Amino acid sequence: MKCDICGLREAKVVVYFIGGEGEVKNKLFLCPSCSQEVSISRVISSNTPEENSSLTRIFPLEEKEGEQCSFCQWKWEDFLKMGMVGCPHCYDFYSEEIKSWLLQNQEGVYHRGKVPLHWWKRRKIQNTISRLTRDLQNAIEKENYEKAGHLKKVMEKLRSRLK
Amino acid sequence: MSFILSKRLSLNRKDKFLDGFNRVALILSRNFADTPFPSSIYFSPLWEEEVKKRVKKIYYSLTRWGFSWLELGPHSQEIKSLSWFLPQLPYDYSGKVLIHKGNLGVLINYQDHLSLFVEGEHHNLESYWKKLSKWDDFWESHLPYAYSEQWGYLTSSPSRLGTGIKIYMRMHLPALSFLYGERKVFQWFKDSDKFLVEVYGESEQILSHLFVISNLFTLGVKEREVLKTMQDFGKGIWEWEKQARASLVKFPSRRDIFWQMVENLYKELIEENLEKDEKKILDFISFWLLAREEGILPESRGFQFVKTNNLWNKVINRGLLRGQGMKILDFLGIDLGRIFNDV
Repeated sequence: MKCDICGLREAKVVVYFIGGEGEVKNKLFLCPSCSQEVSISRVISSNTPEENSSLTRIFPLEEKEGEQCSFCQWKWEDFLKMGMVGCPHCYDFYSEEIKSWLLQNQEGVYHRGKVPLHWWKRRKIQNTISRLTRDLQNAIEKENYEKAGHLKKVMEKLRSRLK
Repeated sequence: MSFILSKRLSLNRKDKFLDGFNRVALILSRNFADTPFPSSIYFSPLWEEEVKKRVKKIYYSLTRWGFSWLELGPHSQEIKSLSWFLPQLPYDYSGKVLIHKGNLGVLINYQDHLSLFVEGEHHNLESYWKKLSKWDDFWESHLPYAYSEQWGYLTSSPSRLGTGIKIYMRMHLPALSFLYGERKVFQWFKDSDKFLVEVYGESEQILSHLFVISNLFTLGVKEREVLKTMQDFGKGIWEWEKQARASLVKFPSRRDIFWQMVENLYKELIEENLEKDEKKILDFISFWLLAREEGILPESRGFQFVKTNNLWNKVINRGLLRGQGMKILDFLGIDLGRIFNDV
């Protein structure tokens, strides 16, 4: 059987969709490559026929996009029911709702404390770049083009580390 | 006959409660970027396996340090020991993996992709935090965490958002429960706007005067602020419990009232055939432990050897304290096997 997503490779992974009473509602056959790279929830949410006509046929959508997280299909009602969200993207999608919830239930709405090391390094580079931008501006104003050229090179090097 | 009663219940611990915290656990909730949380209906089985696969790659580098990989099942002993700070685990162990060594570990796919934890018995939360933070750094160096500059570490529940840290303290407070009543003590904790209080185990009632207290806030506070608040709060409660215990030792009138109450509880268990009442059995053991710890067991009281014998026989033979009751006895340091052997 061919993969339900790419339609090219042989399917080796089966995703079962279980209903509320434990019965298998549907199956999705995937090749190893698609199973690694494609977000299943996103595939199900795509209701444009040209994108995945076979899948939209298999998984008809009940609600329009915009009423649920585009990455994981989480609805705000689900949060109210379970007190949980479905994925990291839900925090962007429901940012306003979550913010008002946090105002009532947390000490603040801004993180304080430990940050991931890679994030901290990134922040440090960004701070250095903004400091160097100011220095560059000063150097240009003082017509010190040699220094400005050097600063520009350093900034480019730092920017490349951010990518 | 109280001497016989005390002899029959063997204690495994010595001065275990002296710092008052009984047991503490620190948990950090972490998730991978661009991956649905375990709460998502699309998580299992595809993403569940994906998370396990990613973790397993890193686990291989941990084997040389003695960490073990355990797929949790219905008979895993670890579920019992972790359930006091991971209360959903006994009901939801399927697809979960535990990597651990001693008191340090990580539970995979519980409510978040990673629940990093450290557990212990002493009250120095700072030393536990250092250990846990190092453990967190290790995982973070291998896996990109879901993180937002505004909201910190992104978790499946916004109640853990930000630092993702939860500190649990399990406390045995029989003297306070005796002096003020357990419901009142429970309500005091509940009324606090910074802490959460739960009863021990899956039950909705307070058993053996055990309380589990945890921090409410994770966002807008630094980890060390949470540590300090919890440590101060825990110490304060323990001081309070110590004062209540001291008053029992100091004032004979209070001691008499205490023993009157314990005796009444005992009589109810013996004479009114309430041996099936798990709460009464466990509360009775808790008060008896308090008396033993404070050295206020009277030489002669109404405990009758034969009747007590029968009571424990019923408790053991009919398996009346299976499940959480057994866990509580285990926590209190009471060995039912020894009781059985003594019989």
